Amino acid sequence: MSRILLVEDNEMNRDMLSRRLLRKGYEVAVATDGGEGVAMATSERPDLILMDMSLPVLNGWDATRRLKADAATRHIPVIALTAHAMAADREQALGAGCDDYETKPIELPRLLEKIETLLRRD
Amino acid sequence: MAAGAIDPRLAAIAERVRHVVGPATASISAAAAALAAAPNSQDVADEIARIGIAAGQLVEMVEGGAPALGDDGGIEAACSRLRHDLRTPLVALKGYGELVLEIAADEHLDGVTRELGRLLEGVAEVMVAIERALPAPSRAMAAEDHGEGLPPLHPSLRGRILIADDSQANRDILVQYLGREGHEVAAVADGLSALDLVMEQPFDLVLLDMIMPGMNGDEVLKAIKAEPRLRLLPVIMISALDAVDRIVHCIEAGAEDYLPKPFNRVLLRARIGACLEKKRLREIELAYLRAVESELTIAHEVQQSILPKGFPPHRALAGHGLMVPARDIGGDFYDFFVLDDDHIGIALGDVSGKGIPAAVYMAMVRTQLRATASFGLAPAECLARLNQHLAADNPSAMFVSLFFGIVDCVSGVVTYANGGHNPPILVRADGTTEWVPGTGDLLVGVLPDSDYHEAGLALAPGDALLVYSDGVVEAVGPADAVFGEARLASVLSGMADRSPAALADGVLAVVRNFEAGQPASDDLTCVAIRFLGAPTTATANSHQEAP
Repeated sequence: MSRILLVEDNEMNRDMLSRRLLRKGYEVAVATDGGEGVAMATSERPDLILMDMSLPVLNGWDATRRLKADAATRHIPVIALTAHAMAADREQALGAGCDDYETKPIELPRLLEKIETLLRRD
Repeated sequence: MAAGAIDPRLAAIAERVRHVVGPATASISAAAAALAAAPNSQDVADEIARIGIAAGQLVEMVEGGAPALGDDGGIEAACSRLRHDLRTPLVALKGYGELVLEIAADEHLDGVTRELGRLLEGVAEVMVAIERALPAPSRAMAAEDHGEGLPPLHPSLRGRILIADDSQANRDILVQYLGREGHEVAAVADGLSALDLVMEQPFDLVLLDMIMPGMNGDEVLKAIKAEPRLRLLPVIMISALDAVDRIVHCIEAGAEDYLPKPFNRVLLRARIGACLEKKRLREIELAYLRAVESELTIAHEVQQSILPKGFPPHRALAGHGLMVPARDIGGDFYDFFVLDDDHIGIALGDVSGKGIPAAVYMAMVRTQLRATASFGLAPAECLARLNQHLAADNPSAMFVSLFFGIVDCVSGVVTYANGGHNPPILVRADGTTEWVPGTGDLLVGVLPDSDYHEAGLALAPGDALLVYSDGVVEAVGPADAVFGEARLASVLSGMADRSPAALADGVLAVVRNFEAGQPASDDLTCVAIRFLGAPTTATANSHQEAP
């Protein structure tokens, strides 16, 4: 079973998305800010990370940069979650080292497809 | 600005949000309340409770928008924050709504599905309303993509575009952008609606999101390409960049191009423009082809009309001719002309090549032969003069194989010349067949000074003569079998008692049957005559042919 780390500060959205992923058969761990996300990625070694971009303490871009700079976590695919469907968001996310990008509100079938593509890549 | 005081511009924005977004949020609240009271709701009580909380947050934010706005970083930043904050409960509402819908489907909780539908519709409406009330991101998008200041589109590159994307935000961005470019735009949220719409309305281009509920973009694409009427309608797939395999499949299945998400205005404009331009050129091409087709149809009618309408009525000679071109128009022809009371001329020619050049040359040959024969010249002299005319000025190096015979309707003697044409075949009244000997002369129109010689044959009463083009004997059947002269002779010996029309039609039918549905490669022409002999009474002409 694949393990996904969901880093999201909004309680409702964290709860909602983790429930939906659980129903699809994934194991889900959650973190509520960028610092916690980096710490958990290092200790838990998930198969994939879903990273909200506007996070407190350490934002999603900086958290991703740290993960991609560390040899221990570099290989874990990161999908950025952002609020707007704009080219700059995408460039910024990919520039930080995210492997893919999805806008909110989430279209679950599309997100699942991206998750599976990245999991297969490993 | 003093603490606690509210910038009047922010107050105006808050008021606009209340006014524009408020009504739609009210319908979400109503749906959430109805959902909590719906049958089966206890089975998903936790999720429904959270839907209620998110709906409450949304209403509170819309109603009390101004304090949340603040004034850090100016109006733009405030709007952007409000936009983000308003969308947060919507993300939860959509997510929980879809989650409960999934659970309801799995566990047959039909009682909640109607209210969930209303809730999700409400969410979509609020998204649109937020775009209307706080339209900042489209400006941001323009600036980021350097799309501002693009020259206006040429009117011929504007078209009617259908967008199918289940994401309201994507639809809004595309509708707004393409509308500004001068396109006429329609948008739907799922694949089936897209298919319905392209069936009933004309579009120049369809943008299909790859992943949609119900019917995915690639399935809609396949359905469009399977419909003959819509096959030429260009389709651009909208897809995340990483779905390369699916993009490749779609392009193989007939998609014109793809657009990666998120959208880049310059790329969007270039790809849509290229698609519309291609479609425009294809339409010009099709219109041209249709015009050529219609001219060919007319040419076919003109050509058939210059062939004789029927055989000249004569009490001692019956005849019939037919010409079936391999394409719309052909290079074969036949002709009958009355030279005097008892002499009828019969000609059959086959011009080199096929199609339009052959047809034009055929019309010229037929006219010149008529003119030459009308002087009452013998067949060999006719061919010699015709040859002289044709060979003298023949830059396209065309030529004609030509049989020309004059029938003496009293004696039954046929005097003929044959310029390189297939040997005609005699069908005696008793069913025996004889090939008519050639005169060893060249095709007409090749060399200026060719000689032509005459020969004769005698028809007894009841005998028939068949003159034909190589479309008969060179017809090709399955496995490359060739019809051949032997088969023609054997077919004709079984038709000795038939009228000339039945002979000619019979040969055509046998050849077509032999070809077994394969398209004919050459024009097919037959002329059949039957000598009836000197009449014993005045009623003998009842045998005469009336084709």
